[in-house]
Amino acid sequence: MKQNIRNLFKQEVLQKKKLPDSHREGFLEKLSASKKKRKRITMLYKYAAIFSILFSIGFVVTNLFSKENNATDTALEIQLREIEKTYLENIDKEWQSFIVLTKDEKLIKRYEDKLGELNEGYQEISSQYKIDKNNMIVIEALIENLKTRLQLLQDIQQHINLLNKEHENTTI
Amino acid sequence: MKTLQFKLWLLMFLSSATLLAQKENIYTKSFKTDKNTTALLKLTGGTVEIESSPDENFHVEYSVEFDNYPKRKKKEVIEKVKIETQMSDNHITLIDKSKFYFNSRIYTLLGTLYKKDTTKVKNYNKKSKQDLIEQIKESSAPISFYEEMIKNSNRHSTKEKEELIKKYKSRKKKGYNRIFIIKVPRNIELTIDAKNTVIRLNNNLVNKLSVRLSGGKFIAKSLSNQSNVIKVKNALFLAENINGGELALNNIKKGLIGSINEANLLAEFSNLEIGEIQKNNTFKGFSNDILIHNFSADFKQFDLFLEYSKIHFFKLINDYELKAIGYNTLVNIGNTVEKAASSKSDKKETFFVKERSSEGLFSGIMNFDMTHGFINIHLVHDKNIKVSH
Repeated sequence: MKQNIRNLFKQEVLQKKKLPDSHREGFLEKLSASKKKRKRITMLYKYAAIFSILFSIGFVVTNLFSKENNATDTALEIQLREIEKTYLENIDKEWQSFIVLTKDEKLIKRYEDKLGELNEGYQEISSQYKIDKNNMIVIEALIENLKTRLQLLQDIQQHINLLNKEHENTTI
Repeated sequence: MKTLQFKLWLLMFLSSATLLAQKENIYTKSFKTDKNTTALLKLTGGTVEIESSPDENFHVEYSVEFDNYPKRKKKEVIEKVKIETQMSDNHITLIDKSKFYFNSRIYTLLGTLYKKDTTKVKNYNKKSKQDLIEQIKESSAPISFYEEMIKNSNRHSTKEKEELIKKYKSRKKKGYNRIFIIKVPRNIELTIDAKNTVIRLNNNLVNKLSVRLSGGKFIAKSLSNQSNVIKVKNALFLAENINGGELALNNIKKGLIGSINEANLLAEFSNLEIGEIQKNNTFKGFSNDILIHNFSADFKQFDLFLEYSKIHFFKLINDYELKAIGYNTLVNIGNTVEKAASSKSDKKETFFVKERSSEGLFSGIMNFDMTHGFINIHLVHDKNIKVSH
């Protein structure tokens, strides 16, 4: 049976309830409690945001520096390879001129042995360098080894040339 | 107020106590020995001081001195020290297995730090034996790696070097210093096998020594034993007095010997300076530059066998005899070429003789066997002799 809903409301008598005296205080209490909860949630969001910002900055910075380090490592390695290449070329050049300058096979053999020994030392330091590529002391030791080889060849040629020159000038 | 003062004092005391150098004994051991005891030391990296024992025991002492070093890191340093010793059949074996990797590398470099003097014009100033001993003492004084690097660097002027060292010394440093002392009784035979190590032989040692060192420094006060065999290569060599034995030096860019007596020296690719040649010495070598400042009044006999080398000495005050055989060698007296051995033949011939004058005290005979070399006799009155080599 169809009924009009408006009539139904007219017929029902609604009970009029009186609000308790502590209703206001209770309401304010509940309101402040809900505010604290919201505040705690907001703080949590803030912390999370700060953390994520710091994390992102950290990540970017670390990444940037590690990239920079890699870049310097590579630059250093390239530089060292260049130095090594230049020295080895010069050592070879000096060696070629040395074997042309002297006919003393015993002398050539002695220098060959000495250079071989220094080369072995170089390989030993190189293996240390592979472990720690940023250690300047190892790098300097590598360069010093190459320098010694070059110096030995230059010295002996200077010695031979001086002897030859003095002999030419001497009329005794 | 008094409480505050007390607190401040307490705080100052606590902080200063941690700043002071602290010595920690890491390893101590003693072995009873007799005249037949032998000892072997195997060393890699670091510094070892060898001294005469005050008794008949062989003592090993290892300690670390910390300077402003953080407490938590001390343990790491102490843990790196690993000394193994054992005695069996009257033979002591000591192996230093400490892992101070960085220092070992530093000492590798130390031997090569001294650049060979490549200037074509060299100044030769006569020094007394004592002058050279003083120079040895100065060169052998403990020095930090940084100072040593600055002193030998070619990049800075003398003034810049002084300033850098002064600045370095004034800085408060944080670090540690290892002290490794081995005290050896007089009679035992000692063998040292070392790599990249600083060996300091502190007293007048009379023990029979057999040393093999590659890289680092060899510093000795006085070594006296006819059976000594000392082989050093790629290192710095400083000895105030060598008395007897064999000495093999290879690639020594700086070698200073105060005096040498009754010794056989074999040198290759080395630069040596000797204060005084005493009795009966023999030098053999290849590709060396040897400077002798003095001969003792009774050097008796000095035999020299050199190839592709230069020998320099100052004109002797006393009478002496010199005979030189060989080929392709020049004799310079003062700054003039006086004699030349044939460069065309490889047959050894007598090319220079200095007869005995029979005036004044006779000191001895020099026998030179030189090929492809230079004999440079410097005149003493020339205060600043320049030789273009």
